[in-house]
Amino acid sequence: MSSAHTKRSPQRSQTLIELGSTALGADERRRIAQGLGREPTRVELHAFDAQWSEHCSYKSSRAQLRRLPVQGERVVLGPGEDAGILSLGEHAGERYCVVVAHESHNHPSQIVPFEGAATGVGGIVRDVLCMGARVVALADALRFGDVRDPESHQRHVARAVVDGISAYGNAIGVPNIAGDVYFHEGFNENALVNVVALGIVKEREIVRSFVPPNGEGWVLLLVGKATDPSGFGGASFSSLTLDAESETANRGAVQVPDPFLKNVLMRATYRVFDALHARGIRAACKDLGAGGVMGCSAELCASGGFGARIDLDLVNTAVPGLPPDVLAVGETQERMLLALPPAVVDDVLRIYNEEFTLPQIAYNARAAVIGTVTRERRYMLTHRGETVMDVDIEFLTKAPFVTPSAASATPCHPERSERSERNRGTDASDSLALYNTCSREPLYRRYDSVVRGCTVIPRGYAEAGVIAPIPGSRLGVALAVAGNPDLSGRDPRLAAEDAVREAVDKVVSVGAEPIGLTDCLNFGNPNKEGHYAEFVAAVDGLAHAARSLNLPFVSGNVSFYNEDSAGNAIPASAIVACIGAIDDVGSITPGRAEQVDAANPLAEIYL
Amino acid sequence: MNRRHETVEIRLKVPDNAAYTALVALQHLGIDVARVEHAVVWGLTDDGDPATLVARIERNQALFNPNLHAVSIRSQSRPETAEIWIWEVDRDAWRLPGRGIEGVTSAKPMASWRLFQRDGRPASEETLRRACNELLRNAAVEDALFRSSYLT
Amino acid sequence: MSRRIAVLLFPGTNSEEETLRVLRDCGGDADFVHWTDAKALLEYAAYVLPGGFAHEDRIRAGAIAAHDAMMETVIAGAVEGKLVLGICNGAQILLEAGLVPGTNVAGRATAAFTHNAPGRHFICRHVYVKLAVEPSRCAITASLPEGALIPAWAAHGDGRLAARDEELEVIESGEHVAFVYAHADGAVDDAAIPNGSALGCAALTNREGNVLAIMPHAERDAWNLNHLARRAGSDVLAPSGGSALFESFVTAVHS
Repeated sequence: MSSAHTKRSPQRSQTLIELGSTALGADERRRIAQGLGREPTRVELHAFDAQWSEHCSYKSSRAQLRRLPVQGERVVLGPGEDAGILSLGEHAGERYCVVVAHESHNHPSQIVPFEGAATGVGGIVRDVLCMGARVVALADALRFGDVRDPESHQRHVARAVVDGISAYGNAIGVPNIAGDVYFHEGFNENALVNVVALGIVKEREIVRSFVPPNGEGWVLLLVGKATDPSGFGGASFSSLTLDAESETANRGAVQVPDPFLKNVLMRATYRVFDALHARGIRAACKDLGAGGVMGCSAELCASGGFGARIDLDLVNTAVPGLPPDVLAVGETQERMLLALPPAVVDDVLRIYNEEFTLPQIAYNARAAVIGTVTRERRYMLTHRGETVMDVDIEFLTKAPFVTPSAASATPCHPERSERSERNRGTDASDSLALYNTCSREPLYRRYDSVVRGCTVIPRGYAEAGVIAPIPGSRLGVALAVAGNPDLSGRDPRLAAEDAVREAVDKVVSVGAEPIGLTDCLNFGNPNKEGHYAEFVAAVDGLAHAARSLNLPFVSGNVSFYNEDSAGNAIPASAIVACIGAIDDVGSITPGRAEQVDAANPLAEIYL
Repeated sequence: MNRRHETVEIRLKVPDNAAYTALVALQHLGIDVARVEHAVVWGLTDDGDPATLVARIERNQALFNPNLHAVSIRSQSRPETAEIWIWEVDRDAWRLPGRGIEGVTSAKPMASWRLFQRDGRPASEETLRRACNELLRNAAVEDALFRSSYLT
Repeated sequence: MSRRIAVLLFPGTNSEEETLRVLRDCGGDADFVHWTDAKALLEYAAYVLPGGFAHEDRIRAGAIAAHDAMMETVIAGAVEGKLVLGICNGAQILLEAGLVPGTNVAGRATAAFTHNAPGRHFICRHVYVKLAVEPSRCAITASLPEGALIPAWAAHGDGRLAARDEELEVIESGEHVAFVYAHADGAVDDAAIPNGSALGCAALTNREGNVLAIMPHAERDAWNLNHLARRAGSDVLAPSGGSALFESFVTAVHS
């Protein structure tokens, strides 16, 4: 016993050194050890690192976000799951809903822009897919740096991000109907890639991301790409500030997109949900994002009041011999988790693996049973017969609140005002301003805006995109995004209010009734007083504007640590999407093609 | 003038789906192939310092992504034993995508396919020809080169 | 005689739903046939290959799909005279399979819808296509009026017709170019071509005229609701514009 203990000690300290780059603070590590009553295993430490990181738990922002209005007549499901849901209207005796998710993929897109942006689309699509919806539209809000120099990294990022969004969205067959782009030197080292996805679902067929009350003994089914080491450490990665060193060190955390597999996975999942609904079975489903198999299964089960037991040996992998921590928290793309009654598992496996031939679409892709839902509220992982994780599932999934330390007396942005000054008036800035006033046609021409045959107003034909997503129905959905970085340099609160109003105005301008909002809050380091103050001010602005318009926020995302290598935050960017409902798309004016300026600076980048 | 022709291979470090798909399709066509390797080979004209060519390629973000690719310089500017090179006839395809590589004045991208038999030996000339004609090349728009054969 | 139309699903197809919908709205008896169910294709009278990225367009657009099990039945059917319509990726597959222009006796490809020029990028742009042959030259267009102008969306990265010079001459003189790109008023010039396509070609047919490979998506501008030039007060759910192509196809299947 004691020799085993002494043998393990050095290993553990080495682990802690290796984990020096994780985002967990010393306080949090102490709290983990206290909660467990022992030192965590390596797998557990990685699990808490993922689960308690800003990315998963919004630990700095939760208290602030509670100030946003989230209720309204049309709200079917507010913030808290993978996507929000709004009531759209009735058709043929069925009540239909719009599912909406809105997220950032800023850090990955700065480092490997094509893959980062593409996987951003991939992730947001899964968020909507797992609610049981058909994915029917995309939008993107992009913020790039000064792209005037053709040799600059900013230019490369601006080009490759659009390539990535285009390659992914076009291949899966979801039209990109709305978006905006701004160029501002405050984004030189930290571009923003925010994506929105819309889905359509019958209200009675909504799939939730928690195991239902009768779920004890249900089976956990992992579906999609074979797990590989590529996405290890992504959750805490997005919560760290980028610098040159981490750009190199963190490449391993960036995902490889597979839109071909996603195309098939989406269609197979539609088929699975249709088959389950036909049998009156309501499964639970959740997208695998930050935190991998562990994060997804723990949240799916904990939020239903259950525990989980998972055998990591059953996870399908791309390479043999992956260590249990990679199997548990690696962030390989194109995966989802379903919780199902055991009686239907064989049918679901057959749809994914035989009818849709997942194993032939990508190497060792498949649906596989990996564990069960347990009454006991523990979260247990086994690997090669050993228990590598065994913790209270509540403790794991409820990250402690952190009030950002206002103690670090960072002055409130002398650099910001200086930058704003610089940004006005000089000849050079005037020419960057051209990029912000020209037609965006060279950019959005790269996106398929009309696939599915439901598009009423394609991208660029009006201020908002419009689709008629239910075949045979006149019901329409409008979508627009907004958020002006030039305003936020002066007043983040005003900029946030303006983002709400502008997004709403755009939706109203096509004849739709605004019914809900989503937000993606892109800010600097919450531990710096000035940066955090901008975030708080922006939430003020969002809350005030939304309340005054009587509109709820139904989904959202916070992205912190958007700063340059000198520690300057990006221009505060509360980016807002507005969803509008249209009773009869015949009542709205058709869109009109934009006049494209002869000398458009974006043509050089995108065409 | 220090102008040279260089042959540079860029290979995926992650599993190459195209190679896997090509293998399955070739076997479906009844062509005796047990393994397929795939890469992009660039025929470059370079004015720069040979010692820094790899570094210059690695700096070019449009062509090379260290997260995904491995780059190497070929000693010979012709296909190896079991290898086929295929390139587009249209010279528009030879423009460098995005940002050019410093010092490089022209670049011709070619698909490289290496085919191996069940016994591990390089595929025969006849197998290469069939693979080329029946799947790997569209003769309407592409030329190909392998061993002694130059297909136009 | 069966009048059933199969809409083929390859892994990577993405335009199947609107394609099936427009065929049914035009009176066609259409159903999906899944890639694991290739044998079922034998029972159908006509085949429609929808848009997408079959097999992720690995090797070349359409190259892998052109050789899969479903295409063996489609090729045999085309030789018997069955009607085959390929749209966008479906068109690329038909060229890779050698069905259009169909000028090689061994069934090899003699032309390609290859990367757009200039720019080599995916583009999504509203276009018009104009019937460039006698309507009866191709069975699928037989009930369209002469010079029919059809609204559609070009949405592709590989839509430029390219071939060796001598083959382009054969394509032109053999009246294989069924549709050319045009302006909204029917005028035909280089500015109407979104992708650098040789001969301004938007669609090719084979010698027999029972196979049509068309790049732009008429099915995405096939109801009043997505027709940008619709008249005020028109029924937005009614077929319009691009549906004319599918009406003509269904008429041909039924005749």
